Amino acid sequence: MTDGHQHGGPQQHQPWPQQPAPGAGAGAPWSQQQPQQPQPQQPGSAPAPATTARAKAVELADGEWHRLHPATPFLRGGLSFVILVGVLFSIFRDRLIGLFVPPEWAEGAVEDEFGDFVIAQLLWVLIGLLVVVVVGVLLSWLSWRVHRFRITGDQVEVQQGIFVRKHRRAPLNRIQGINVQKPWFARLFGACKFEIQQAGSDSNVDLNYLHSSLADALRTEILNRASGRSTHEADRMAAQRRAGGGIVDDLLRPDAEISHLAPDSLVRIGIGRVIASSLLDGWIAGAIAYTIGVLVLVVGFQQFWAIFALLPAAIGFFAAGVRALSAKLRYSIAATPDGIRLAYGLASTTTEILPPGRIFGLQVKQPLLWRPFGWWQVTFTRAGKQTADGSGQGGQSGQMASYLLPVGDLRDVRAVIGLVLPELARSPLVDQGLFGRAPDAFIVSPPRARAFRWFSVRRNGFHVHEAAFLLRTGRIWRSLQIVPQARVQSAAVSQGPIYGAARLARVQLHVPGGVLSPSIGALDQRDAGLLFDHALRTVKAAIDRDGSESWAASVARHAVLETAPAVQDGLAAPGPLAAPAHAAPQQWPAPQQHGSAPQPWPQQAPEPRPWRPPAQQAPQTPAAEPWRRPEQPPEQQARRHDGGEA
Amino acid sequence: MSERLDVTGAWQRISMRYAWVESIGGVITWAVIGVGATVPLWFVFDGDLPLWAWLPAVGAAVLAVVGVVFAFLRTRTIGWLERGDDLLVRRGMLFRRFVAVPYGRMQVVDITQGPIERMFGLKSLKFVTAAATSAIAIPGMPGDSAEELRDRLVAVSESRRAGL
Repeated sequence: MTDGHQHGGPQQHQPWPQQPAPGAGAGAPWSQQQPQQPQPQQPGSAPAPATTARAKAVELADGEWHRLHPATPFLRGGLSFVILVGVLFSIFRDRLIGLFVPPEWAEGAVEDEFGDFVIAQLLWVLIGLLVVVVVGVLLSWLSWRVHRFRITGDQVEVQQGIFVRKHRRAPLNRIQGINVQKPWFARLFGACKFEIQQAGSDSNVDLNYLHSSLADALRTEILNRASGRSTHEADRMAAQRRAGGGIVDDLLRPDAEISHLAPDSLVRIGIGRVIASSLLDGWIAGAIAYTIGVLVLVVGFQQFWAIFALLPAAIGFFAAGVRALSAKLRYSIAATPDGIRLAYGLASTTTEILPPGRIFGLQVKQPLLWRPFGWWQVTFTRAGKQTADGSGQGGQSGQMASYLLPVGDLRDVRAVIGLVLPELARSPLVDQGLFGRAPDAFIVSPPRARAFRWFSVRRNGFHVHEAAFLLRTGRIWRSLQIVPQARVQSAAVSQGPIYGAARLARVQLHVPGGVLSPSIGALDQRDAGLLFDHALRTVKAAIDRDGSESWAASVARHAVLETAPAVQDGLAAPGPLAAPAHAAPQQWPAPQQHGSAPQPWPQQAPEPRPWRPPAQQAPQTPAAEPWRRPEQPPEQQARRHDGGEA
Repeated sequence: MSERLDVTGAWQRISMRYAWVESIGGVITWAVIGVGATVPLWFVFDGDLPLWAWLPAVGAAVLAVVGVVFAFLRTRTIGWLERGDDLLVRRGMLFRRFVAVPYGRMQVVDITQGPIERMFGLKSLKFVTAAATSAIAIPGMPGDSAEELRDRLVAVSESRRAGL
């Protein structure tokens, strides 16, 4: 038990530089010291001022063992209660339906012996249920007693389990994000889920449940330590936050206590847009189509069995759709000193802070039906627990966990990209990546790749910015993938026999997480080779100057905070565009100076004309970037000639 | 037809003995399949097999031979290249794939050795990064050189490790 088992691949190679406080040391972690249990705060009572919350949070992070919210056993047991009700319902389903169905329909019904038995022995059944409930309560109370956590200088430790003891440690500097979820049920008790995300599939540290009033201050405290910020600096920021406002009643404004911590959301999504976009893409559309299908079957073909067979699925569809919809409502994204803060949810809310450099890749895409409205969706991938199908976290955050922007127009997309990669905030590359075609800053597939990219051969391409790789694909389903250079884990270039005959190749950039797998196919093999080579060189340089582990201590990424307001202003009235980053030393080799180089695509359009959504305020047209080619060896130029004719 | 995708450099090839490892593995697999397909037929026809019933066995034999040929061809194509900042691994002639891992990104370097590999004194090196899709391996390295390379890579990656 003393050294438990540690989770997470990478961190187990890390030595622990600081041992936990000697008094509560690993020698006697179960010594009978009473943890300072914060007083349970009833939701109706007077809200505590921010200072008290911070003091309590500091107390929670003092390196001693603490327990979770007293309502934890009940909140956790809620699940088994639901299961119990579900089991009972499934047993008595036929009887319940029998109450509502006319008796002549029930002639063929099978005798339900078990149900009859249960009704005959009602007393014993009730006693049995009572015993089960009592044992369950006792066990969950015990597990609450032994479930403790402590936060020391550089790590979080959690101990839990009655029969199987589990001891998990997580180094603070590897935090991928801190997620505070408030399911509506837990909000009634003033509790919330607190999840410290670590890299790896099952390495998160969950502190379920904590006091809502403390969660945010505790998160700030943990992030302060993880960021390597000095105590003085942390105090100053806390004072700033206090000046911003106090804590408002949790039940009325669930994300109120964090809203004063940061500038307001960069993006506002109207409720109409959320609903309309969901109608055009996603569960609701599926549910409506399904329901119409069932209705046609029932009304048109007189197949009444369909009501019972198919309607439950439709209800499930609608429930999933409404859940996804309500998760998208009240979405907000903002910059904080500790990274990007995402908040969303109506009845059950989630707020999440992603420290800088924890976003490993972005994808901006446009479902076909959103195109007339000019809406886009931004998803991202991270190293922690997150799966595309939402099975990772379950519920609303599972579906939302990969959205950086559920729906938004071009301005919103630019704001969000600017938040993640300030270098790209005002770059015309984003416009070109979303709308552009061949003669622009992107290096695209050669004409002979038309067989592989029928419509998008002039769009399918990439650009290497000094901060990120931009991969754009698709003319019908447009998509732009942005991978920060410092976050690429490895790269691959591959070529099958068919690509080989066409001298094309595919480049893959490997990033953690299962949401995105950035790759671009049908590239000229020379371009692919250059991208591959160049990727590795720039990744190496980016690793060297990356400072995301203790972000406050490093200057590189602190820009997030400074640029965020600039992004807002810049979007409203973009000034002269910042010089494109091509001149940077780690850029592509100097572009060709002579204009006589053979071009695979005709240059008849000197300015790329980005497609613009109709009836929408167009941002200022980005300055066209000259179509550039990396310097090519002579034999390649010769090859390009026949390439162009092929 | 012009030249195909390639990366030039002083590539290190893996041992050709690895082709035997692959061949033996492939032959065993196909033998099991061939026998598994023929034996039931043998019982069905009571030992008197018609000509077509030999097809699965013959097919398995042919595939085994093809597999052996390809194992030798493929083994020739597997190689690695230690560059200044990353390790490059190549594989495949028809389906070519070059994977590069910056040293600072290697999280774990594993050495594994299967039973057939042990007979030939070979080891496989596997690299793990934070991205599941990386999945890189250099099979068929002579035992000493595998450990040498592992130690070298671990040392370099320790010194260059930088977050995720």
